[in-house]
Amino acid sequence: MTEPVLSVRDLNVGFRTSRGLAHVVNGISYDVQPGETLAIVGESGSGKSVGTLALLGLLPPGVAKVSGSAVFAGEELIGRSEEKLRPIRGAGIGMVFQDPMTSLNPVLTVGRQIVEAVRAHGPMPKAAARARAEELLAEVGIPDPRSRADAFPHQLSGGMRQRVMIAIALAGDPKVLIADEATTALDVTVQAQIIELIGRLQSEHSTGVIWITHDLGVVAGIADHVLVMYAGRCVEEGSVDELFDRPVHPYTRGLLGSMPLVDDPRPARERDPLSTMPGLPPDPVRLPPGCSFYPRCTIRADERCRTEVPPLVPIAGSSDRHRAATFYAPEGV
Amino acid sequence: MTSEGSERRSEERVEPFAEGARRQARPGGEGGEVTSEGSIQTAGDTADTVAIMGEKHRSRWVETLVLLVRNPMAVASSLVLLVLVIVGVFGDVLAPYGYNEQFVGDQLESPSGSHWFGTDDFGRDVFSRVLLGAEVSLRVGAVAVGISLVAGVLIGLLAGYYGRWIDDALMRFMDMLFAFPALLMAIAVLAILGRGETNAMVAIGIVYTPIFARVTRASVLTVREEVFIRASRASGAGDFRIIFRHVLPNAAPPIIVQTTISLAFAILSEAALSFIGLGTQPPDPSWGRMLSEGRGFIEQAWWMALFPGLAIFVTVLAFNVLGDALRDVLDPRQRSALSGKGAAR
Repeated sequence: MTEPVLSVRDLNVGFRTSRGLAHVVNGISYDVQPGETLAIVGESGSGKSVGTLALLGLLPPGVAKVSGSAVFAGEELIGRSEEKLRPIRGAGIGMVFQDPMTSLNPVLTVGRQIVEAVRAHGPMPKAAARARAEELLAEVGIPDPRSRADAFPHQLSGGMRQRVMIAIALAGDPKVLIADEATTALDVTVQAQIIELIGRLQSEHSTGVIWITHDLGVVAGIADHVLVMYAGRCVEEGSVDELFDRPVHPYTRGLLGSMPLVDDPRPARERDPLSTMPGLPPDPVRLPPGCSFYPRCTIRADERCRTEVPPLVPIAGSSDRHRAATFYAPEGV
Repeated sequence: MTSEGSERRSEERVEPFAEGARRQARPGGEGGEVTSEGSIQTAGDTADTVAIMGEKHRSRWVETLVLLVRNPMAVASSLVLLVLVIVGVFGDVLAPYGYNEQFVGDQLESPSGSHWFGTDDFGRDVFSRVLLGAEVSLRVGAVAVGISLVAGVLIGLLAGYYGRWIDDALMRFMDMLFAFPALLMAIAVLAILGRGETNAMVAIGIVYTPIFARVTRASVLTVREEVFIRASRASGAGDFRIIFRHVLPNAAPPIIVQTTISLAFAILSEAALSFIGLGTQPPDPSWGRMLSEGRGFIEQAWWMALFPGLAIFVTVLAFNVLGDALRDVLDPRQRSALSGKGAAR
């Protein structure tokens, strides 16, 4: 196996609130290999976005408390000063955000915004930066990039804007691209185009991609490795096949059970109704002492579930990268 | 709110968000438009290429100017201001008499062929004094507002963008200045600096700084939370660039409007300071001074107060109208509505 380009170990993020410290991310660890796609899935508030924003120091400094380690290209990111993080933002790790409607500056032309991203990492003559911007627009599949560069964001459709966002993220030629719900705000056809685009760019530049989403359909299509987050903890991880074929953690099984099957051979009326998971994620200020999924869990296999946080351990009979944090050991997985 | 109301609003703002809102608000009507928008979303992104292609992108400032010229109110107010500036610069050439030329025996003459705006209690020609006063009033307004604009916007940007203790320190200081009645504050400043026109400008500038700081900070606070600010930080932009390239332009519209309003107030403040003898010193003319002096003669000689008052009124109105038009034109979303192009139309 090659050297991971990004290696996160025991990442913790807490937010200071009036009620106490909210534990939003609790001990997350993962590796991103060059050219590999790591999908982080979880419901809203599970800490998946916050965990990646923390890597680049993009959380409000007075409020967020970050600890742990994140090594990117041999350099530690956590605890770095703002000035030392800046060269890594964009050039080392690029980011594409969820909503292309709001992630572009409405008063600047898209060309100017790409030029800015290009010139953020070292001086470059204006004309050269402009040429590079047009090149990037062409690369992300925007027709007629020369005149498009002079358009304002509101003159473009949602899919176009997301392409521009990707062009901006690629401007620094990053080794890792974080796509934070990058297709959630788009409709399905455009979503497919964007996924394809990122996949193509990824293989051309052998970029490591962290794909944050709650759409398991997307995950199944693009991911190599999947990390399932619940209440700021990693509850299960594994290759996409292992996770979809043999989910172990009750939460992962619940997630997969709540998804309709397109290729279900039975006629609609005989299918099982989609299952739902009752309840809400726990309050991050007062996490339960045991497994954070315990309050919603229907299995509760072990006495320790209530009192002890289950460690993330390899699953017997799977590869050693398939691990789950549960005391529950289902038969025949 | 009725669905029609919400639709109208969305149309006025002409934001792409309106697409969804419109589609929901009126599923039956506007069938053609809905399908065309739908096809933009789904059929790849080629459909709306047509919307802006085939048309040259002019430079931003040229386009701003073109749009401004299309608005008759903007043209009218610009012309008024142009005339005022010409009067301010060439006042001594244009004025039929000197500002302190006294016609003994002709005091408090009503408007006539030889004295268009009448004469004041010293027998001076009011028309000449109004022309010559333009320079003082415009200069005081521009310089004073310039001072408060630069200082206030800088303070507001720093306070709003950095927040925390910087915000607290700067804004509490601004609150302190704001707590004094404006005129009292200006008098206090002039007591320290000494009287005179230049010091009056500085004093007025200081007095209006907190307003700019507050308006700017409030605007910055909303812009700061926008995703594109975070996105530009994520792409490696530094604070300086973010503040002046991303935050300030997006926070500008309320500041522009505040500037035009403050120009009016600054001219009035100068009048007040001159009235109590701390600003423009007699016999120099300033509109505010003349207005104050004319007040005492309002029953015998209405023209003494009316004409300088009208001059202030016209100036202030022109600034406000122009400021409004500028704000519309400088906002690219509004601009698309004005020039009738863009995806949302």
